[in-house]
Amino acid sequence: MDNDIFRGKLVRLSAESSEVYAEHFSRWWHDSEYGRLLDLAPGMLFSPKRVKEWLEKELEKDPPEMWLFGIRALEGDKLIGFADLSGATPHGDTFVGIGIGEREYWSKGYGTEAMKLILRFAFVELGLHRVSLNVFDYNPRGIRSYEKAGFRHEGRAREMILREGQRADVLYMGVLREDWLKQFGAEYGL
Amino acid sequence: MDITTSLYTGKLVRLTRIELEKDPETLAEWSKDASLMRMLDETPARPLASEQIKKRLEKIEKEMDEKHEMFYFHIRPLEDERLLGWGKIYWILWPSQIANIELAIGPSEQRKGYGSDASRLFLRLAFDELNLNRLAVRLPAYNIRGIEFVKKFGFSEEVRRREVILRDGRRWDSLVFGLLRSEWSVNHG
Repeated sequence: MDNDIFRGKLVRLSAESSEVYAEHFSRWWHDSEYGRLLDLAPGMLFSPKRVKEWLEKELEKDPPEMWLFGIRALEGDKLIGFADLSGATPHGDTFVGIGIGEREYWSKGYGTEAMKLILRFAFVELGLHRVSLNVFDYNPRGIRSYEKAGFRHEGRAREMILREGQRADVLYMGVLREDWLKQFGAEYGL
Repeated sequence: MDITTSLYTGKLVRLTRIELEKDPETLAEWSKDASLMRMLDETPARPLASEQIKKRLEKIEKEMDEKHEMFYFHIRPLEDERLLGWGKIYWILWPSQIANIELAIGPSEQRKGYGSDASRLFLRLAFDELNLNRLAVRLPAYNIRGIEFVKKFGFSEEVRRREVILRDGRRWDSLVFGLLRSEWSVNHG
């Protein structure tokens, strides 16, 4: 049994205090491109204090409704983003969210590796049957990354977004435990 | 511009407000078997007492007041006050002009045309009053009648989320259907 499941070659999934999350989340949301890649709803630019109050409530729940991790680059142990699983159903399905807030870590494999780690957690520790995500069609970098982590396309909800006077679609992607095991089982000694 | 045709009154049914004193009893009766809840989504079906349902309905009213992200109505026939079902336009995201829609008709009131008549009202409300551009419906793949029903109104299958639902020992897909304003016609259905 391999217990070193939260560490990859570039990043590790970390636990952070609500203060640290709050300061980083608040700052990252001030980058509007980050917000527009992450959320359908317009960003609210909450203060660290507001974010902290909300997070404290979330992180107190035991067992958690949301499995939230920080993403730390191994080099320098710098907090560069977050990943979370939320809305798990009794049928073994959950949605994953991920964001790399520090722009200098974009397009270098950090996000893909973090996604692979949280998928591993979902399947080997939570025992889920599948993991779902939504990504916007104007985010090709994200789509490519999720494909590499094992996600398959499940459909396209048309015209979900209206931004800059243009409508954009939302893509649904999903990865089944069985397919994930075939693709990554050997890598993780499963 | 025709503002004289009622948004809330169709040929067979009316969209009305919640009656907190009477409706919970009917809804509790419907929850005694799983037939209705299982057709809607993956939320586990369970019997609910009138008091529990009343609390849920009060919560819905409060949410409608505070957040303006949902329009929830109870469906009744033209001729009396009995409850036929419910319908809601929910998860409205105003900047995107999108929402989800759900419609449910009580087991004993199905196959009488009430659902179709109510649907026409809800779609008109969504597109001609709320000015939405897109509506989505989520349906389990085993809800064949539901799927035929939404297709009749012009919805098309956009997403097939594989094996999302585990029921009766089997895995089932969960579907998302979409209808754009440009595809909607008052003549549909």
